[in-house]
Amino acid sequence: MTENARSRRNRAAKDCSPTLGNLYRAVLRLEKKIDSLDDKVNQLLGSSSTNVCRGMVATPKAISDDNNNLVRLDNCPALQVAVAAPAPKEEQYQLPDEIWVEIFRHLSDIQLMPVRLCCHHWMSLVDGSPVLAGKFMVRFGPGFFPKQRVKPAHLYPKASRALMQEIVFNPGNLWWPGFGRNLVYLKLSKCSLLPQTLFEILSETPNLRRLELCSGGYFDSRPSKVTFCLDKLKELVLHYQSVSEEVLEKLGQGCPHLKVVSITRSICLDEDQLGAFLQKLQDTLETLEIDDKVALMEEILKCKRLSLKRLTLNYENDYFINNIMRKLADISRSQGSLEHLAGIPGTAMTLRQIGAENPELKHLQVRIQQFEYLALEFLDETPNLEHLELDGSRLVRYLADFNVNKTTGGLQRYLHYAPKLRTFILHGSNRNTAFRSWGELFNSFENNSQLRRLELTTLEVATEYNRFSHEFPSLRQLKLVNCDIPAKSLAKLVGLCPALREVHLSNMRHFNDQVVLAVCLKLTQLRDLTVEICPEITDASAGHILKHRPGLEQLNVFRCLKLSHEAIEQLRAANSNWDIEK
Amino acid sequence: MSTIKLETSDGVKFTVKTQVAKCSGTIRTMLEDIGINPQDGEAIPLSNVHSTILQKILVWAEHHVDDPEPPREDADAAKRTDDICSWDEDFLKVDQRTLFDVMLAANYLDMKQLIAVCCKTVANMIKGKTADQIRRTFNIENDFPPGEEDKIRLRNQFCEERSR
Repeated sequence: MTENARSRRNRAAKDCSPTLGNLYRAVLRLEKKIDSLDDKVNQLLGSSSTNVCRGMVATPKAISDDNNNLVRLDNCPALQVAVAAPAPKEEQYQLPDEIWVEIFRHLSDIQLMPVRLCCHHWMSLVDGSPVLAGKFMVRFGPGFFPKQRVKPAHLYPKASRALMQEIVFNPGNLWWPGFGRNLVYLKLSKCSLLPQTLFEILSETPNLRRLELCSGGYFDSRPSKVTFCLDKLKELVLHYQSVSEEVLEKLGQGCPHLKVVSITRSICLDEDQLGAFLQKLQDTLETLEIDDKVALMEEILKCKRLSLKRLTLNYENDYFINNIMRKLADISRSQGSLEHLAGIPGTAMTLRQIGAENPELKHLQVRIQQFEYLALEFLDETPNLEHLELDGSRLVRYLADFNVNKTTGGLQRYLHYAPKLRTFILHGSNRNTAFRSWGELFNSFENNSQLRRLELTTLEVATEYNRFSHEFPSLRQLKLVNCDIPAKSLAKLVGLCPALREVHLSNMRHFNDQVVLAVCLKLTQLRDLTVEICPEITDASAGHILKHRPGLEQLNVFRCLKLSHEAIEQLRAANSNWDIEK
Repeated sequence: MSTIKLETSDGVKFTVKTQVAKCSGTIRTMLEDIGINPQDGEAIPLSNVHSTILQKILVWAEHHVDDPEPPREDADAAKRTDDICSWDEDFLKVDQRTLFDVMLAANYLDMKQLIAVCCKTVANMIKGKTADQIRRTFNIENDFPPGEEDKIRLRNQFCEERSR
């Protein structure tokens, strides 16, 4: 043992936590003993064995074979303890608890589950932090009968989020004491209960922040005397939920601080009632999701103090399209602070108007209307746009406005105005010719240096001019569905996106083994790969993945018909997290 | 440009631009609130930071010195881990010991942005791993008795929410 190494150890022992320090001191003591034994061995075997013995762990047996005298060394207690002590090369590096908790906060409930199972200490960290423990949700399914006197076994002790599915609640006998008080999130789905019981439940959950009522109907002609006050409730979701006037009125009274309301597919609710409900909430409401009903949109316009940040309109009904667009224009004029607008129908003209009225717009998801060109002129009105999602699947003519400027291409001209764009999603359809060429499409993003996510579905091009020049240095996610990009161009494209983490290719006719090889070799940071309905993928691809990317966190392979059964089994055996299926 | 001196635990003295040093909340407080005068030429002692780590941290601070203040996050919002800039990603491609030492020092020096980016990096090391793989990554001893782990796993079934 050299002096240098020893002084390093000494220092390490001082720096370490008490337990590790003790361990080090024990190891140091043992090393002294071993050194003295070293000397004895040297005398017996000559100088050559010094090096052997410094290995300290596995060597004694090897020496003892040569020399019977040394068998006693094997039984020497000091040596045996030294063998049992953990080798210091694999140290456990410590961080303070609060830093671990901060790290864990970046994980979802599913990722936290194994963290909790690592050791007692980490389990106590997770359970002891309300934010972390609050990520887990307890579920109660059909066949479970909540009773006041029975607390279910195996319940996560810190449950603050609960999902109750197909549960029959009885009035006056809801659940065991204390359960409701812990809840910050409650979802009742397909549950059967009377309004009276719903009010009872809500009177026992004073700390709720989000309440979801789905696929149920709460009606009762008798008025209820139960009152509740959910003054911490910020979010309310009613989905496929029929509620009586009384329930809606009580919710409006009992939830004074709602910021987020989503009422969708609700049957038996008339617009007047909903309007009165919105009137009550208009001072606090920031986010609203509703169905595409003109009368409802009129109710929004009546709320003069309403100032929405996010509006989602589940647009589906083409029959009233003109009225809906007119109301939408009115709403965008009255709500000048919109940042997020989704599920809306749009034409070049209405989008331009919306853009001009809402300069803060960051997120836009829109269905381009029939017989329209995809003219993205409105982008010069929305310099802050980060997320642009265009659904052109119902268009019958052109998606790209390439008649406007034949030399530079329409898309590029407009994307230039959205320098902050992070996500671009475009759904086309087989009935329209989208772009002149793939080269034109992919080169359109020249000025969008912050683009993280690109999704293209069902696009067709007019010519085979596919020269790509533009790099995507920041692109993390790429999803291509039903786009007939030639194999060579695909491989080239992959090479231009070095930072990709997630690649999803679906229904790609020309995606073949060579492209898989390019994906494996060029995308060094790839974590997640999905390949489905790609007829050219053969066993060679499975080989490339197993050879070059065995560390993929997620691999999903579906319906690739040329893959042999053996290759599928090999992929399945390689990693249990992978989802492989024919 | 004004400079100040910092002295690490192993006695190495660094001369640093004041602006860069102020990336550290600890040093900023010393200079502004407590009123330590850097012009005296006396070095500020950083007794918990080793010179190799401080050097690394100063490289980071130099690169990020002009960063704007990050927006205030909602404490309960889901935190993303895919927004580490590529410079930081390369910067943090170090062995685990160095990474943890940087975090400890950043914690001591109160450098919130650096801690945040380190936390994201470590969170990415956990993502997608089983308990066993996580234990191996961080060299944690499994201190559950053999049967108990299964029991907890069973209890966890009640919490399983949605599939990925």
